[in-house]
Amino acid sequence: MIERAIENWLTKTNERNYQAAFCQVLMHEGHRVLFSSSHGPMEQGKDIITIAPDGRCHAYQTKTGDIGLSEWRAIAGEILELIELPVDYPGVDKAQIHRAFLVTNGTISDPVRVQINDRNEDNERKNRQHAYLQVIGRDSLLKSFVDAQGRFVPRELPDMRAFLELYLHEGRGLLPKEKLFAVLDRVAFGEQPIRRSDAVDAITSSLVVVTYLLNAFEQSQDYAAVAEGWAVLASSLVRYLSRHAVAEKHWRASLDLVVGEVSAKLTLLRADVISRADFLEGDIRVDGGLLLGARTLIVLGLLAFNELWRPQNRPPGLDEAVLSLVRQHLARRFVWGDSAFPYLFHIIRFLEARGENAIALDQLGQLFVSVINSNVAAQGPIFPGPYYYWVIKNKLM
Amino acid sequence: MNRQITVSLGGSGPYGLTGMIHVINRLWRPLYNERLCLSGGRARALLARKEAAILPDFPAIKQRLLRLVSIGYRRRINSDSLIGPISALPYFEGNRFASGDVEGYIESSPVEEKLIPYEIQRAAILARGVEAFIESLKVAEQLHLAALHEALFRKHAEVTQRVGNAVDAQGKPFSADLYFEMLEKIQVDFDSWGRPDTSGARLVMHPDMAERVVPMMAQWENDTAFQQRYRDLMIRKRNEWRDRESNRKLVD
Repeated sequence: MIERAIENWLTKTNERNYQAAFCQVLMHEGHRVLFSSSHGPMEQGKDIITIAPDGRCHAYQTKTGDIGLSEWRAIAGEILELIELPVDYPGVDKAQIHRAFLVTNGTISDPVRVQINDRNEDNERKNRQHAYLQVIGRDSLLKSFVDAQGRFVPRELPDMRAFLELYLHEGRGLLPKEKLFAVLDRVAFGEQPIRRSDAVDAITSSLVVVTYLLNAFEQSQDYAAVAEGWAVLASSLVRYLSRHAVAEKHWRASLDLVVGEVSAKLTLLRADVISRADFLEGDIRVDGGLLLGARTLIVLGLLAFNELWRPQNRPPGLDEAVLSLVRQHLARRFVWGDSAFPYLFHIIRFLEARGENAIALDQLGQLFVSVINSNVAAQGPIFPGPYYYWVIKNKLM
Repeated sequence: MNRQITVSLGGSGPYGLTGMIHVINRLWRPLYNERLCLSGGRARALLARKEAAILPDFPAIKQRLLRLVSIGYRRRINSDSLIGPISALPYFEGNRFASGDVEGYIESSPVEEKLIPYEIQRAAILARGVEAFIESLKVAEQLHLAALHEALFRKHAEVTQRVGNAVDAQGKPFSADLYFEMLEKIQVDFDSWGRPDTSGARLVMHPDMAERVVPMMAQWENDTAFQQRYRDLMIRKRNEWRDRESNRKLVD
């Protein structure tokens, strides 16, 4: 069943979505991942750069779907860059010819394979010093992912149900985080590692599982949900590592990969939100009001968190855009309960960091009053006991 | 008369949304069906922004809100004094209806469709939320009721002409004679105490005409000649009803 699920996901997904899982598979095979692109203009035909266990540099170009002659001609420029341009990355010897891979989740037609072979042989014959291009198609990818998933499959009915509900989710609405936590906690991180490889296998499996469980949200481009999904994995991973005292060398690269996915998705969210006039979403007839308020708080909270986090990666000139968004939309925010606090907390921290102390203080004041009012409404006025009165009077005053 | 109502939407733009309440009337007997569908796959598909990222959304809550709006809309349509008392049954398939009366007349009617437009401004949703949608439907409700009234009167005129129940006043003002002529034409049932059941009868007239007729009818209540004539008519109708009941075929 899991194989069918992975195959189903793999045939429907795109290169951006399977890239993180593929990186993890490479790490599982002993590669050191140096670079995983966000598919920007600076790729030079290389989406992933790794150092293989034999010390050779590998460069991968990831694609989606079947590659026939017409698709091959369309990507010819990128493939030329992949094989001709040396890997330009700190620590990589440019003089050494890298190995080049064309990766796709579809099939590669025979005429294209013939062309690739002819070109490789021609480059060798004429001693062009170009990289030798190899191909990784759907079947190889599928085998890699299924192997990476390994023995970490849901076996109990509740786990299977949570797994299927996540996998078959329509991709609209909030991510069912508790289900994702449950699947990770009971399936990937449920067993205590006995050998060193058990922990490594669990980490690899968790990354592959999360990649395809988030596929529905990836397909609908709900970046907030996907970022939260990767954050769920990051926190589950950290808990697992802490609980079982796994050595850092076994998890550092994987955790960086997961955290990198969170950052990448929040950056995509920021780009989308900045281009919008308002935060209405979906069926707007019944939007607005509290739903818009809750959405506003979630989005602004995530953007504020992203701005505060890893500021060195922030593209220049966008600070003001996010600050402007916060100023423009903050009045609409709705705090629905305890779980809303982290979003508000990051907004307040972001405002303080940008020198908007008055707005930050106002938000804190509103929060304080709301908490007091709701507590009074629930419990009535509560007076401090005589002990606290004595402490306040004698120690503080 | 049977109605199915679905919604088809014109699309969502930066300034708002225009939509249509799609009313399908199936005229075949003095009953109507109503299915008001303000949600549904097509609506969602049209409302969703294509090829664009989405922000966190709450589809389950929205579905419930749409259902509540739909129920409210239907209640307001059903609160109309003319349309409300007509029983409603859902019909989910077919595009024609056939019905027969006691005289063996079979009538076949096609599906009739009506599109009731509504419009919501994006700014209004930002400011007032779902209330803006409910307000926009109030205009649609009036158009919807007008369409239903038109269909009801049209069908009513067809049927009364066909069976010979129509009374032509020939330009004369409304009078007690005309009123009794109308009552003569209709079939009246009686309850177990022998009281006439006229709960299904309605006098529908233009407000200008009502201004003259309503005071006149109030006077009839104190007019002994009128009351005697009415009692005589009801005695005759009761006898007709007894004859009908005596000859009624009982179901096994």
